[in-house]
Amino acid sequence: MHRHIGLQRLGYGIFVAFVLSLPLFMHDARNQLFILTNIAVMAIFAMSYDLLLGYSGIISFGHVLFFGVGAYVTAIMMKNVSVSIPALLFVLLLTLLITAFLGWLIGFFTARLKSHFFAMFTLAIAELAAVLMEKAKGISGGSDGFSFPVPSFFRDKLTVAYVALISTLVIFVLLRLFVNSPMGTTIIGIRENEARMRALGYPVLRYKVLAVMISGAVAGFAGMLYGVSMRFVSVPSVFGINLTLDALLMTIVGGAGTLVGPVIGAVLVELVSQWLQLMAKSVPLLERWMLFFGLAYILVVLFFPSGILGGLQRLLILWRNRRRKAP
Amino acid sequence: MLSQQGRGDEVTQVASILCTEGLSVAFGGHLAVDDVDFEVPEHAFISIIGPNGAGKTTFFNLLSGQLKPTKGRIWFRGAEITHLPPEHRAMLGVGRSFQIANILPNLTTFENVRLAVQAKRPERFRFFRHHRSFSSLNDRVAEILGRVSLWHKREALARYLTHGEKRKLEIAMLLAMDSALFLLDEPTAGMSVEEVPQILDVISALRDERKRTILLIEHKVDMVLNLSDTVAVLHQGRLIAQGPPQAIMQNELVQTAYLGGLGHVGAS
Ligand SMILES: Nc1ncnc2c1ncn2[C@@H]1O[C@H](COP(=O)(O)OP(=O)(O)O)[C@@H](O)[C@H]1O
Ligand SMILES: [Mg+2]
Repeated sequence: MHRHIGLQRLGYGIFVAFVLSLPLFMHDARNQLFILTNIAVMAIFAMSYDLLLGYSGIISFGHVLFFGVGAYVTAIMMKNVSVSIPALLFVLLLTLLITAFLGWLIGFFTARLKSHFFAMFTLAIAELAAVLMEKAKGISGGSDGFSFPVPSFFRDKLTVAYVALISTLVIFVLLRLFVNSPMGTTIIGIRENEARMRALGYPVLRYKVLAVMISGAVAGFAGMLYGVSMRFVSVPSVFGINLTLDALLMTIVGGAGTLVGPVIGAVLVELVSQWLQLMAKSVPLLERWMLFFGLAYILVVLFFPSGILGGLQRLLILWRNRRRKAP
Repeated sequence: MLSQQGRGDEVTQVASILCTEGLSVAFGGHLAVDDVDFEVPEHAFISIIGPNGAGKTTFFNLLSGQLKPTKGRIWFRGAEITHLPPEHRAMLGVGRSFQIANILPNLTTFENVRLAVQAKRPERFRFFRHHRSFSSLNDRVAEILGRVSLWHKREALARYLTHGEKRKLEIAMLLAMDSALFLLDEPTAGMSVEEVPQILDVISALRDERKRTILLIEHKVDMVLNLSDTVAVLHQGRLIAQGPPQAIMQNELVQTAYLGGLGHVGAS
């Protein structure tokens, strides 16, 4: 038992060291650092989505709203107010506050809705926000967007990659502690059987709102990181519904309700899409690379309903049982 | 056996913990619970009997808040709870078990009970420490799982339990809530013959403690006779009789109600 935990810790340690050494082997010229940063940003965004989908059983089609807010708060502050580390810390605070408040607002008024209505409602709100931002060209730059400066510390791609990677690790650990805490397990209980949790005395609505708030704040942070790494925002790139769908895909492919799953999903989906885009230059059929994601999505839902992690787990159990049966 | 008389006297001295007035609920045009005036003295043990479809479960649903009445009022410990949602009532001390096992399917047996224990403890607000690291919760869960003989199943997912085990888990969750009022809806129905005596023991031990008020819906006559201070009879949504167990069993109205119904009690 103790040895097992020791080994597990060692395993984690090696994994973290491996991840943190990744940027050192990256070829800047080939955009590898950029891709790595993007994977980290999407991993954070997908983890925040998993907190809703996998842990709370809440389906949202408007999750990009929080991402967009985080990105735009960063962009507007950096462009118009001040470019400095303290300003960026203020942006962080502002982003967390605004997204948590938005989460509260949306959660409070809609978490009592049945799940498919909630999904539709979040979609409507996010699309509305996108349309409004598009209209407010003066502030948002519309579809063309605008670029903005960031503190000099964040102008180095290696530094940004490290910030993104470390953020991913820290958020993973924090979310993991949360979902394993008494409060986190209450949210899991609500996913399992809402009526039963109410009969036990849990104010279910409050817990759901809390989940939406935390998830929103983490998604806002991902948006902020995106802004800092790209130094550019536009309405389609940070408010587009495709980002929500990406997070959904990553979570489902990796395995919902695991937190590790969305990270694996982010790595896979980002790498495969990069590869497909590269291949499309020589194989024209692959230009329809979005189509392949659609297919992959359907296959995963049909054959691996609990994602890659769930599939692996099942294989492991099968293998163990077979070994036990063998003389 | 305890003297029925002695306990009866004790009970009449204390105030009522639960009280309903004209309680009714209709589904479509059908009155499932019809104008029920009901009073439960503190620390009493009352059984509710009646043929299938009489409205017993629906009556419980009204008491614990899963259903809203179309008419009538409910008081608990002197305060009106008619319009409170189920979670408020649970926090006030109305605990119930469900006739059809109502559990958290993909969580372990242990976790099902742990969440039930946690519901009223300050530990529920902790958001950083691991949920299995609170010995105050773990010890209580272990004790309850031992009491209903589910300790050996503690790490099994609730959905893989047998039907009888799910019913035991249902009881365990009710015990875990540590409520002042227990609403037990056919706790032994669907259990195997070997499992029943143990749950019976748990229920009689609860009664003998005399620390809680217990309402029991049950078809098994010997169980009702042995445990109850009072038996109430529901028939077609109406409370048609209420009184000491022996008298109720001999009551003519009750006998005809059962013969007209499915005859569980009459047949035994
Ligand atoms: N949610 C519901 N909707 C419609 N009819 C219901 C509902 N719940 C119970 N009923 C009806 O109310 C009557 C009483 O049911 P129930 O309370 O389950 O009876 P019992 O527990 O005494 O066997 C039955 O006729 C049943 O069909
Ligand atoms: Mg019933």
